[in-house]
Amino acid sequence: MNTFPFPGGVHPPDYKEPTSTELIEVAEPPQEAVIHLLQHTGAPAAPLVKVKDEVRTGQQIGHSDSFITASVHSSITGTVVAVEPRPHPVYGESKAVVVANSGFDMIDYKPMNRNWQDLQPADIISYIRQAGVVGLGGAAFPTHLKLTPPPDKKIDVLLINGAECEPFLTSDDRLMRERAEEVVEGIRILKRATGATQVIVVIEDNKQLSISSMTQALRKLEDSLNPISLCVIPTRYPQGSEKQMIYSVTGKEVPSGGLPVDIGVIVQNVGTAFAVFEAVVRNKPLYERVVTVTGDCVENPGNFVVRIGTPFRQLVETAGGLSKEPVKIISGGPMMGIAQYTLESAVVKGTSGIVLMSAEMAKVYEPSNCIRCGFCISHCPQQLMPQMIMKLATKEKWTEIKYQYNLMDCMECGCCAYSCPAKIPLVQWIKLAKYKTRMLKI
Amino acid sequence: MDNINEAVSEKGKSLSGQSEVAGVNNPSAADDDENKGLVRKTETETEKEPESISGAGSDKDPSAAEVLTDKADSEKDGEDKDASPDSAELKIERREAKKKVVPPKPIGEEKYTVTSSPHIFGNNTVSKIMWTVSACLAPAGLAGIYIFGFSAFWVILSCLAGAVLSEYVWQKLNKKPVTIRDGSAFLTGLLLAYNLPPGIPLWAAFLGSAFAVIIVKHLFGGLGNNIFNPALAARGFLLMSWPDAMTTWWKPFQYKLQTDAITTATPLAMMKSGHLQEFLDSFPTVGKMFSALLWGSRGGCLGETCSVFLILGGIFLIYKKYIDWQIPAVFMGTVGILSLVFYNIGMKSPMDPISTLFFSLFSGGLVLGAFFMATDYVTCPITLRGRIIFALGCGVLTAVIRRWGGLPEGVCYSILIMNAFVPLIDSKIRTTVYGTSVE
Repeated sequence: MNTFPFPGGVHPPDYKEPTSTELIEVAEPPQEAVIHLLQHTGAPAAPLVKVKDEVRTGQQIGHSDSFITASVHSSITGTVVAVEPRPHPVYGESKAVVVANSGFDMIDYKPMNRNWQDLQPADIISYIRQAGVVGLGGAAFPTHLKLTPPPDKKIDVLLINGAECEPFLTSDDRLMRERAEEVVEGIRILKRATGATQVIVVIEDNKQLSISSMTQALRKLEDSLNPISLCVIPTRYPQGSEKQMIYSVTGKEVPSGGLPVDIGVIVQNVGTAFAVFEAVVRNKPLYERVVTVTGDCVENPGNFVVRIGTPFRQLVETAGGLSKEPVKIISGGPMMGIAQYTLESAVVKGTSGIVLMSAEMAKVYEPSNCIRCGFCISHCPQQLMPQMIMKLATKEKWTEIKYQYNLMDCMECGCCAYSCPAKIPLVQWIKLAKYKTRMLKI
Repeated sequence: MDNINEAVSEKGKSLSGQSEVAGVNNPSAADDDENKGLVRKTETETEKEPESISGAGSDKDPSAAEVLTDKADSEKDGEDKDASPDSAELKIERREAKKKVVPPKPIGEEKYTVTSSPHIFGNNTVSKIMWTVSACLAPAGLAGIYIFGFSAFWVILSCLAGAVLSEYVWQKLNKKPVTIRDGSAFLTGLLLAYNLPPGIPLWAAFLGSAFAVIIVKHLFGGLGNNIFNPALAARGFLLMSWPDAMTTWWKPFQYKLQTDAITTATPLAMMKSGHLQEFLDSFPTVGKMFSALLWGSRGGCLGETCSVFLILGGIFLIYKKYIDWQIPAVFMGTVGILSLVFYNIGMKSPMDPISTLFFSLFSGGLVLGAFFMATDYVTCPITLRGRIIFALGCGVLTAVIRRWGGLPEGVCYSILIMNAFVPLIDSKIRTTVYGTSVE
């Protein structure tokens, strides 16, 4: 299949070897699950339970009437011991339902093998909403909303994102290798739900084993009328970014400030496809996901099926504990992940991995003067001008940054800061600018 | 094999079954394992741990298995193609054996680095770039020493000393961190030396690089903030102050004759004074002239003459993606094409078009300027589009100065003039941001 190379991008070392050969293992449910009510992009859910309530695995414990939101389910069986702010991997601190494990894992939903072929798209979407499925690639946007375009828009192309371009992370890769058939079923369900005429699974060319297992599964479950195609794209960061992927495969650009659905495309992660399969066919709410635990401080890096709300500390214990003292703990990959201030942060739906880095790997550089080399511009996949944004940010010219230098088109992929020879924290400047424009309502 | 597969799927089904699996399999593993002692030791550790930490573990076996049955059902045999069940089992065992507790720390005692993403960085640094560019310039300098003799070496040395020392002294006096190790002052000194005649008095060379570093670079705010290319501005300063010393050119290889160096004129100066035919006549064939121009056997600045090494160094920088190929290509292309036109306006060129092209590209400082001066990050525009406009402007100005200006050579001043336009270019020429050109 023809691909359209997007401009910029970088080739960081991928560090995937330690975990790409590890089977997905099921991790022990935590003694205490910290289930955040803000698991997703959008409004936080309101708790449906109070302290001392008994909850079961898969029971809905959070709900919101807002438009952009997703319901939250308990991941273990036990007693609610607190509803209070706890360390959140993305938002620093956020309200969470803390459940103490009773030791008995009892489920609150009826496992089944539903025949999705009989369902209408609206029913599929409603099952997905009930199960609290969100985008598992990292941004955690509620899936049922993505599948429901505004009435005047139509979804033509459904892209399934199996690029996993972040270094270190292998959860999607393993999922495609071990659960290819479920993933493909999930993709077929998504196809039915969206009515897309063209469905393309997109995988980077460094995941040959995923490509072959997905090809086999696609062949086995092929729908002869509208086959699902597989597109292999060259390995380059950030190939897995939504806009870059759309450009790579279709050659079309998503309008600035718009959504992919504006050009008739939506992108879903392979992990999301798997969660959709579980939600629709198995009737299982999203209360566990595959998380890669890796980094040079972990004794036995691996991929684990982890209950949502498992504290990072227990995740590290599951991976054999620490081999040396970490100085940096990252939720997500090293390019876009968020550094944690504590190991008490708990897994949320968007946590695709945690990386524990030693001092030598997580080197902190002292920024020097900008030499105007322009690497940040030539490596920017969005073709922004990070150097100009940084320079104007030092002068606090927020309006100019936002309207003349397209601040909001930045997705903070980190290519600029990665390529900067002066080690200027460009992403930090951009985040500051976004924060300032939000605060000052510019 | 079946047993092993079972063990693996058992593990998949229920986690709390793990200790059991490990218990069953460990002795056999210990038998074939060479490090028996080690395995046994870790085994005893794990036996203690599950009891003390997850006492409730044994209680939840039945229900956990029940919950996850449907998942186990859907699991396929063999699971994975690249990891044999054998190795998978061993890995799980190892994991079991090594499972250890990460003791919780009270809040506030955890000390982790918290920075904005990204958390890994490319291996380019400012000093790496500066030293690489210097290294790419080195062969041309060695060629200059070979062509013009050892005095060229002393000129280079004085420039380097002047640049590095003045940066050191300036930063010490101003109580700023000393940055001479980053190589930028070294590079400035080197570039200035390459732009000087081999016979220039050493004090002038020293003074010139001090001017470049202190006046042109540090008075404007230091690295990254100067408007004009320090080496070229210093050359301009020297040319204005000591025009005689700056325009006395040595004949190549005169030092070998053990005589006092005999002066000559640069090819461009000969053309300007109407003696182009003389220059051409000094070579028996056109081919000889081409090779003399390429290899640098001509009068000129000590580092600008050997075009071959300069081009090789420049190509290496392009290959390393340190410089954009568009700048030298557009700069040299513009000069070449305009020379073909200009040399036939108001004068009669004795050369055929190919020779004219060749002469215009390799007879002066164009190669050095196009590959190493116009590409100076600090003093050229920041976007690729801007850089192309910049290179185009340099090319036009060079061709115009060479043909109609008061000086024979135009590269230095054309780059300096275009340097002044860089802030304007940068404010007007932007990139086309993804998604802004579509509805």
